[in-house]
Amino acid sequence: MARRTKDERRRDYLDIGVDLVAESTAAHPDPGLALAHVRIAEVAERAGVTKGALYHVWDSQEDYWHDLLEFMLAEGLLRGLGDLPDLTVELSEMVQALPTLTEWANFVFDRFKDDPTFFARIGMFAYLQDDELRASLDQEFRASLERFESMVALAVSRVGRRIRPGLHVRDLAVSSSALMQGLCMEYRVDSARTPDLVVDGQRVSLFAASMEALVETFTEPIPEGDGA
Amino acid sequence: MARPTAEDRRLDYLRVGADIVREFDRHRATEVPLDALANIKIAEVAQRAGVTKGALYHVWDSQEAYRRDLLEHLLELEEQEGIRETQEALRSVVPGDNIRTVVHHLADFAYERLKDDPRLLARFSFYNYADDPEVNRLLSHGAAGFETSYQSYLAASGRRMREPFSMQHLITSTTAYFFGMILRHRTSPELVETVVGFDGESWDLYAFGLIGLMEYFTEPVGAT
Repeated sequence: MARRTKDERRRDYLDIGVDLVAESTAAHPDPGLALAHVRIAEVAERAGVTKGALYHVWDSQEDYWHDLLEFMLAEGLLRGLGDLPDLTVELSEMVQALPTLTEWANFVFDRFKDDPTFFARIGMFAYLQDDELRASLDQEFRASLERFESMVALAVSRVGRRIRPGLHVRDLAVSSSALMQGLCMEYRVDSARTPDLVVDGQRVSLFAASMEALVETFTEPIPEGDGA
Repeated sequence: MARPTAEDRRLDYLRVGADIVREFDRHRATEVPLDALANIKIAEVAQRAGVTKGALYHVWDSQEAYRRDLLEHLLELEEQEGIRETQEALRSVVPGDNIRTVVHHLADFAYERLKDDPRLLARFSFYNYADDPEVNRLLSHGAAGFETSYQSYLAASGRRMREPFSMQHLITSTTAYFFGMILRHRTSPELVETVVGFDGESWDLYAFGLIGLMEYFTEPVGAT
């Protein structure tokens, strides 16, 4: 076999590093990736104690992270999307009526695009091999989905459409929430990636435009005189 | 007042940590992306590769240089198999193929291959550090390679962007949907791995949503 070139060896070693990252997070939640910005020194400073006080409780930074992750899980501190239903009520009061799809989508996107807890939760995705963590995020998503679903159903019926046969409103809700979260991630990298549009003098966020696309695909007009 | 117990103090310190996570100070986040890889040691990589540490230090000057390179390797989306093959698939689109054929290609190649890729999950963690210029450059770079592919796909399927949308809108929206559906797949697979029936065909939910975005943002050439 030909001797591997330096560049090939470099790739080999990097691939091993990738495996190690994947394995170290898969084996147990060893929270280097998501919690690296939570330094013992800063925690001590905020708590008004010395670092020594924290090292009295934990042997190392890693031990602290490990305990912190368990703590946040146990206390349900990784939740966030549960705020959605209140947002809709809040918006309805603001516009004194049920919001249109565009108004609703603009509002939801603006609320979540900078939400720190959303990105904190994304950080946790590296530890999904941990059953408890996965179950917690799954549960959180399902709870928010139920509310999302009723909002989506309402938005669809308001524009005189219904879910196409062969599909369920849940499919549209899952797709919409995926799109919203993905757009928040794109926005986080660079706000220029999610440019707003202006249609008939009205601001249409990219989430609103994309929602329109999904609604058109997942639903159909209710035929005249049907079910009315 | 009673003196706080050791357990009280432990909980106090954990609450402070949880606050830091939830507040998520974007500026502080620029200081740490390499710390996130602190548990990756050159000694372990060498052992795994069956070589001496010296062999690695022949390639990198320091452990930090290795981690810097590893970060790039983790975040370089185009390095990932699924993306490369998607580009290939898109190149093989022939004029006359319709939009739905292409979407099936995209769904099969990119989504199916990447949805369980641990590297993609690691990549998601780095959105925490998006304010770090290096991380930002790497995260931004990922989807940029799509633009040429999308253009050739549009040309081949006889479609063009529809007013008032730009290619940027289409790329961001489809990329967002891709990542979002993978996130959902990872927490709640049974909600995403569902097959929807449409026009007598069966579609995976991801592919079905994707076709919706593709068709909405574009129009057939010659449409008025």
